[in-house]
Amino acid sequence: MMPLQAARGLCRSLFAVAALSMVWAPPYDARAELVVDITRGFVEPLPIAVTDFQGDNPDDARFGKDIAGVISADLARSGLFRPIEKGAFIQDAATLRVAPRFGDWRLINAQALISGATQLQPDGRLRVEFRLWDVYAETQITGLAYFTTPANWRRVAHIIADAIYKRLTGEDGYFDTRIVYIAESGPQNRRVKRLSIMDQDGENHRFLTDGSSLVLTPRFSPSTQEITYLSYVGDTPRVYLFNLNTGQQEVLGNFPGMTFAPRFSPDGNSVIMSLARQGNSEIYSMDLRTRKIERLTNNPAIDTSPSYSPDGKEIVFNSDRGGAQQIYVMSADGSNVRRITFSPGRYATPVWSPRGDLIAFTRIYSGEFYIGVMRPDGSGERMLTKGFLVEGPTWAPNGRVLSFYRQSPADARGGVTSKLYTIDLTGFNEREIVTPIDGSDPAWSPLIP
Amino acid sequence: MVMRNAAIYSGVMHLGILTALVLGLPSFIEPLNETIVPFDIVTPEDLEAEKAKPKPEPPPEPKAEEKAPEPEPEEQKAEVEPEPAPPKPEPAPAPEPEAKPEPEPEPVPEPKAKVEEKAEPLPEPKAKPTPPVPTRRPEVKMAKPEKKEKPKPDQLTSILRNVEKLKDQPKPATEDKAAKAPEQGQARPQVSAFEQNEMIQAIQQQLRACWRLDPGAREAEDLIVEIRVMLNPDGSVRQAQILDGVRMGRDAYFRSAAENAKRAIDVCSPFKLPLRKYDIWRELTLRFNPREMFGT
Repeated sequence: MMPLQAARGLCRSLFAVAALSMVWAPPYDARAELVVDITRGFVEPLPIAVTDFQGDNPDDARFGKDIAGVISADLARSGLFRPIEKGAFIQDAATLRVAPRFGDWRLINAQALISGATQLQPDGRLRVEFRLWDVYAETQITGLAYFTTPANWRRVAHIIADAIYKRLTGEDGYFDTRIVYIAESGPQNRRVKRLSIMDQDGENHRFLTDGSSLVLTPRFSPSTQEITYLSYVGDTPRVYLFNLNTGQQEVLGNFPGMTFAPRFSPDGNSVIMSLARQGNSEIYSMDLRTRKIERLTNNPAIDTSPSYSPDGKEIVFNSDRGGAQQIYVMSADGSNVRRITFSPGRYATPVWSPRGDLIAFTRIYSGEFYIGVMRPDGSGERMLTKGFLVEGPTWAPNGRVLSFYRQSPADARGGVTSKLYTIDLTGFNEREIVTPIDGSDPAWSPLIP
Repeated sequence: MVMRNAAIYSGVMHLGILTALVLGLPSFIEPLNETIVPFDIVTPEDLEAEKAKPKPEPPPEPKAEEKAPEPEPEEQKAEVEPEPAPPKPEPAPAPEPEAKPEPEPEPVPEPKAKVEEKAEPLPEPKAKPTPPVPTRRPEVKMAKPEKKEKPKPDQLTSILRNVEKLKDQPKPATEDKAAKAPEQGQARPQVSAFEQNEMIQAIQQQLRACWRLDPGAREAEDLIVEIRVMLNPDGSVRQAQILDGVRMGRDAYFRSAAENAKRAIDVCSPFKLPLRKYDIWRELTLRFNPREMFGT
């Protein structure tokens, strides 16, 4: 009896020990494993060495140098990379062509290295290749080659910068993109406003309209080379469509009241906008192929500035139905309306990030303007920048960077200046986009197909 | 090679003609819309070979032969690589770890240990004279008391900026996680919690100056990366393996975060840790968790 009980007891305690050890079993061999939580790091641009792309003759070499220059400028402008001064490079171009001496690059603290070559082909095309090296792991992590017309060298440089950005950050780049905006000139009371377009870095600037009629709030299609914007037919503001490839413009729809605040749906197949009639403004969507119109809001308050979520399932917009002008989200069919902002002040021009995780907006509070972001449920609200007048946020297609414009207060002679800026969604790295004349209302294109 | 080039050219030409047939010849108002098709100039085998390449054990080979990662065969032939291999004494193989320290939980530095470690060569596994990496010194004392790390701005409260100071400011994080250390390390015989704690703090401190992260990545606060690290007795990294390989292949943001963490380990190598306690730190799981910096 006793021995049996003892045996049972032993069994039980053995079982308990076994169970305990299962509960406490560390993921790996306990004897040899120390788990360390690393909870602090730092945020700084990644030091990167962008070497001039090599060419066998002066022509090729000139392309190589120019292309490396554009890549370097793109990466630096993103704020996520710090191109290292070329003067600090130890390894020369000739030997780099054979293979990088990683030790030399570590010595100058480069963590990534870009090398490349350019060569004009007998058929007149330009061949550009690049390689991205991880200096510490001592491996090539990407290498691609491109053929293009020599006149297109700048685009190839942007495309390469995008490839590098994507490989190192995990998100698509945004360098091979353009920005449309309103170029402004003349005195405040007779301001000439022209629809204009340029590369994301301010190059290849040109005007799209002649300034004879007022143009406002251009928005890029997320999937096509089309722009929708507000212009005037006589005294009535109307939503227009502009095709960049054909140069064609057309009025969108024939509404009894005025239409404004247009934006494309994520697939580019419809436009969502406001229609104002008898002092009330509601949100409508229009299918661009069937021209079918659907009313989405029905409220005596002013509902405007709609913007789709990237999956097309929801719409963020402004409304003063709660008193002050605040931000609301609803389903794409107009149902399930909920308010997401509750702070003092007024909110305007909400725009959903193409990445889906944030909504950018303008906020006006105690005499100042802010550009801010928040999650689609209204949490995590942060103000990225502020000023006398900052307005019109627009997302780069990767949802990482915002562009907006900043207007100064009137000077003694009543003159104002208005400039375009970009800022990282972390709130750092605010930079001006230099334009030939004043600018407002930027709108970022998708990546050029 | 000639064949392959010809095939590529032919492919591109055909593609071009097909595109022209399907879309019609474009008549843009500007030539911006030319489609530029990239060619991969690395064959997957190259990369695989590269990845599979094991990190060398402490005794380094002269580098010139060991690697020629140049994937372009024509050039590779001319490879002889006149690398002026830094004249360094060829270090003897590192002491066999197993034979190491008596489990004597004595935190006082012993001169004996010091001498022993000094005699040890500087077996840089890859001869990397990186500036940010502090030159290795015989290290018997804890790294903790000497604040030798590169002064980095403490981004703790400014990782995400908010120009409106009043609200949504990330709460200052509680002090170094080290306080929780005892529960992190597994209970090990003959190693006091205090000793473990010391090692954890030393490693945390060193990595803090090496870990660069991107707070703007999508859901950056959830990109928690675990890396299993095996260290050589001189503190250099023998092997570092990212644990969630599946997510690496699936989630580009995670891959980037994991590579950042891995790079932090490379940059910090060799770690300055007391040889006497090698048994404690020879194998580590490092868990890079940015959440605290976001104040969430």
